[in-house]
Amino acid sequence: MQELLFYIFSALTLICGFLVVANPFTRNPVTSAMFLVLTIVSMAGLFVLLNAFFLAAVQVMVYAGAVIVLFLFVIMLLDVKEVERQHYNLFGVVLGLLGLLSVGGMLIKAILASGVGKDLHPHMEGTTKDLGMKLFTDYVLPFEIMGVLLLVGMIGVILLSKKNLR
Amino acid sequence: MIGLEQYLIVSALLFSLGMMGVILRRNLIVIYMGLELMLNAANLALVSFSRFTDTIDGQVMVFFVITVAAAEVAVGLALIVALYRKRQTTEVGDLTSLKL
Amino acid sequence: MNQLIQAATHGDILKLTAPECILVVTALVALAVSFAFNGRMEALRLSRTLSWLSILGLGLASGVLLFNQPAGDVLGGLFYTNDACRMVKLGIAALGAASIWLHMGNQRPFPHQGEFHALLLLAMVGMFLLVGADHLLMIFVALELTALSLYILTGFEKSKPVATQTALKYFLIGGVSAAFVLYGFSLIYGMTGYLSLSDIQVALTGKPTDPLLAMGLVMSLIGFGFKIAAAPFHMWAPDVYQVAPTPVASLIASASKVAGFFVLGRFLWGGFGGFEGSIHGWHWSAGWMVVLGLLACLSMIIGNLAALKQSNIRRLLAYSAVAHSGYALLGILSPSSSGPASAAFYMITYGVSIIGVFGLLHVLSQNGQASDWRALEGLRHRSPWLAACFMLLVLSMAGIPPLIGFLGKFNLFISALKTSGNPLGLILLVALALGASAVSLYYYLGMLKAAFCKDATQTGTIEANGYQISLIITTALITILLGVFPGTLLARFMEAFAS
Repeated sequence: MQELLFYIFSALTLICGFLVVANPFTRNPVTSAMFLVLTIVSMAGLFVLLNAFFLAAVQVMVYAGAVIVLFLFVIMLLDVKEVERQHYNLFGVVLGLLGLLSVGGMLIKAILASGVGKDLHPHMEGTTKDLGMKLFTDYVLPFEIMGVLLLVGMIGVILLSKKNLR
Repeated sequence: MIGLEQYLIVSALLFSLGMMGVILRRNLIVIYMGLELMLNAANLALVSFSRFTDTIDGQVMVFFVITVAAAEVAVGLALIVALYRKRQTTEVGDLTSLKL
Repeated sequence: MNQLIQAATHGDILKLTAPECILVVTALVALAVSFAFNGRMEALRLSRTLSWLSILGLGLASGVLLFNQPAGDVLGGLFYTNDACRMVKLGIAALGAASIWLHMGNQRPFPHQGEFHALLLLAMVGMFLLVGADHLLMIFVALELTALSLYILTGFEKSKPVATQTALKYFLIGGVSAAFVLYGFSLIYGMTGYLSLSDIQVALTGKPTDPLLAMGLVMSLIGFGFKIAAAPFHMWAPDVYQVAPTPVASLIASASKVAGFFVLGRFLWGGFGGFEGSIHGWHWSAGWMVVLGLLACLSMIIGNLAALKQSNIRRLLAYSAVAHSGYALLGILSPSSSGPASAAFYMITYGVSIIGVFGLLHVLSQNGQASDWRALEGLRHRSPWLAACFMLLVLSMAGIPPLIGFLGKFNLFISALKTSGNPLGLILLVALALGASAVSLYYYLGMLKAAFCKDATQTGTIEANGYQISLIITTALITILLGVFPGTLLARFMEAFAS
């Protein structure tokens, strides 16, 4: 059962991920955003299979709930038209694909060669309580820093997207 | 039985897909989506490592990464909005100084 | 549930992060002051008040660093302070204060000064945290805090469309590099089971190199390469140097690089001390030294060659900064403790000279000239004092003897050559660095030639206010005084890193 679910979720993740970046039918950013939601949700499924229930919920809430809405909001706000321009720079495309294949290929080759997880078995039960305990004891300093980082983000967003300088 | 390797391969493929979006697409908004995919691939790797090495630190790190990614996307989209006000475009090719 | 709050630990955290806390509070006060007095105070006066406030905050933080900072780490090695960290943080604070001082010379400050100063200070908080980070999560969070503030600051003058474009470019490249760093970190975490660098070091001793771990290391190095602008990951630097507001460009060129180099050295030697491999002559063995050596080599060659054909002086400085990153990487490559010390010393002193040059360029552009070569022409006739300072600063960057730039470079090369076992690879790299410095003389002397031997295309004296003149003269004096009497400062640096 778990195995079947893993294959379903990972296939969904990868297919939708592909459709986000290279949809053969349309170049509309809204479609990409919609497929990004599907990718995120099926990844949350993978998180559940890995017993990271709380993170699965956070993933759906923050990404699908907030980040994607932000994307859609900006797309709607700017009224981005579907563009049908295909003048790709062939050299750039070939170079990009080569770099891509080398990174992806090297990663997968390294994974297969290292034999990681040979004698490892899944046994971590990441309950929400454990996560919270860790977050507010050992990781309390980075947690505070996140507050500063969000402040920076907030200042930046207000400043950059406000219409006129006074 | 699904082992660690399968999860890692999914995450490596997802990372490559995200990079493909960043390299090949011309629309800035879709490029950001590619960036999100790359970060998410790292999250998947972290969670599966956390499960298989029996430490919770990886999950805690994912928590932080999600927050950072949200802040980053917000700033990036604000930059796009600011640019659009001046140039009416979200295409990389239309940005003369943006030779990527 | 009272184990959630460990009072003793919280007190310790506060004590160890006191300088960072002071800077955050200063940033918040700057925001509050700008909200309270915006519109009720003349813009220039408000801007100067905020700058003084920021410098006061930096001074307080430096005071704490100097006199009242215990050494130690918090929460099992999340964050640590020792003498070396304190020295580097003091250097960063000084460079940041100089950047703000540079901003004070601005007669017509752009709007939103409160936010500007707050973001500058918060970027410096990120750099401070980066210097003290001893944990992959802390490194990631601090890198992002610094980078996010710097993206916003680069696009701060959004009335110029080109500023927003450059910020976008910086953001995209920075975002990709963050993704690489993160993926690399996740692989390192998976292969060791730890996030803390010292734990990783312990977990790795005596183990063979795993391909996946090597992949993780290389991916993190690619990400760090973007951050310190080492070739071939430097493509954002010329645009950012050219377009960002001058104080921001000088902060990116000086302080953020110092922090980047320090944390890179910490990451590699503190976490992967047994995995450096070697570059002994032609018998290289796999390890991060090979990757780093390659980066250093490419940075020195590409940086200097690209700088040769630049017409814009800020772009030229950006490419020469790439070359300087290459020199400083030599320090990280040398295994003795004097290596990272001389790299940090070199980057700080280089930061001093580049801030001086940026100050001068700012003065010139205020006098109505674009920052291409013609702006420099006839500087000697128009302002002999500024021309003399300019000569000192540029010669220091080129590494001419009595000045500090020479001393820093000399230290770097010596510490690379002193390495035991006499690895031929490092000797070759030092030889390359010497050759590259010789090439760099061409464009540095070209700048001086424009300033001293050409006649002015524009006449009239150059107008500069007290802030600008004092900044330029101070930086020039530092380059010569420290170059002649390096004594205690350099010794303290070496001592701090040795412990």
